[in-house]
Amino acid sequence: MAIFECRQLTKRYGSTTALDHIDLSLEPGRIVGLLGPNGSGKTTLIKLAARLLTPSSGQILIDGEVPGPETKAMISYLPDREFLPEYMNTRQLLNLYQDFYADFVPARAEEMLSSLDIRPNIPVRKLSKGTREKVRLILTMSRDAKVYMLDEPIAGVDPAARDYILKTIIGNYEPEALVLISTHLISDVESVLDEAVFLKEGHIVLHKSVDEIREEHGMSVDDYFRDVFRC
Amino acid sequence: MGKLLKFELQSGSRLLLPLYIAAIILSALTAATIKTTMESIGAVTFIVGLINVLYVVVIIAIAVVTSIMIVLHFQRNLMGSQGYLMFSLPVTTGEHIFAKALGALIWTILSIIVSGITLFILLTFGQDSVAEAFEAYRYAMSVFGQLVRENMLTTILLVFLFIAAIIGSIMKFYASIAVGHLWGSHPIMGAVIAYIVFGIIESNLFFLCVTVSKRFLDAIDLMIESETLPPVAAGTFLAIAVVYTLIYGFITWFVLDKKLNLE
Repeated sequence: MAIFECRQLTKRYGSTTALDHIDLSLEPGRIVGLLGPNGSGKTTLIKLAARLLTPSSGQILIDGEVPGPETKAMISYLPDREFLPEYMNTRQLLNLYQDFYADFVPARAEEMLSSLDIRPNIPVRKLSKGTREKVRLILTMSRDAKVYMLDEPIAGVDPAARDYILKTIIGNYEPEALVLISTHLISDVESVLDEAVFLKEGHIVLHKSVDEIREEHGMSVDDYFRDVFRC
Repeated sequence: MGKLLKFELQSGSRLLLPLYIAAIILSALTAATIKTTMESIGAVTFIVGLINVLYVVVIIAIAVVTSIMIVLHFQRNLMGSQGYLMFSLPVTTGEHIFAKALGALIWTILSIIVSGITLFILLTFGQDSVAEAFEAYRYAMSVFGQLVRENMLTTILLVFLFIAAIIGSIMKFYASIAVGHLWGSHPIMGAVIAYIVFGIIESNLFFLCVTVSKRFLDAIDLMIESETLPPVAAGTFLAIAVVYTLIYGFITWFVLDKKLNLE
């Protein structure tokens, strides 16, 4: 059974259509790349699944349910922006996650924080940009969620940090979970992906396994992406 | 629910607790020094004057910070980037709104209590004779106690009316911010316009009620003529305040639950 399903899902902002009647079905136990250029609808799709946006028409279902408190309990979502209250320190954030998410594993978060020498008593506003990014990722990946939605997790960080982030994702997700990674930096994530979904101007133009793309087109996902989205 | 409220109180305490402590210390200092103002000169008068001014500033700051904090916290925490965190938590929209309103009510009442405590310190210890001050309180309390005993039902209704009026005015701010959010590109301007429009609708409805309801007019007459508020008037106003709160609460809930589009 699909854990992430869109049925004729449409989202309009005024006269602009961000997602246009898309149908998509994703199975658990897969790492899926949601790939497309800026403005293709990647973030809109993830925000609809997180219920931060309301669909204009159509439906999105997580584990068969319309987004709500029950689906939020099973989704671990990493937004593409700073979303943590700046006055809170890492310790308080850990407590907040532990208070609200039954699947949060504090020991895992503590271990990652200490391996990165991030002190728990420093407020978010005093952390460097890269460290904040890591704290956000650690909080997200320290849950035993059914669905992980990571929106641009590697954009804006240096290559060493990218390696760390990918290693963290691979090392911490539940094997039976769906990991949805949205990015336009394909070469960096290609090695970890099982499937790729190409989004273009609000339409899904391709949904295949990474192996299929390589076999059928004789090129890497990154090269194929450049081919499809050539300006 | 309790967890959300804990978060609300944690967030408000950063701003308000230092102000509360400062107000109590400054009121004690003002009470201790106010008697010396008349007799002393020069630097001492200046310092005493400064303490008095600071006390007034902190009391005004408590009122201003409490109001602004309630409005800004809702706007930033739910409609701003922190909304990504808050709306991802597995709680219902109703719980979010209820926790915010309850947190705001607690901070409003605490701010009133702290301001009252500082006034009590000032009036008691700023007097020549503390014993005389306590004698005056005892007298006032006995008169007040008598009044409450004779009008128990009205008193209870007035306490509930006071709470409902606070929550109602908070909810009107929340509803304005929520409706303003529907105007995607200019949410703040939208909130201000929504607040003004709500005010216009309220006053029109009020005049409509006054015009059409004889009973309503009678209730107001009773209130003005008698020394204590009769329970009928208090009950009527309480019912209005509850309906008022529920309407603005529903508007807030409807926008956040059915029309949410976080930027």
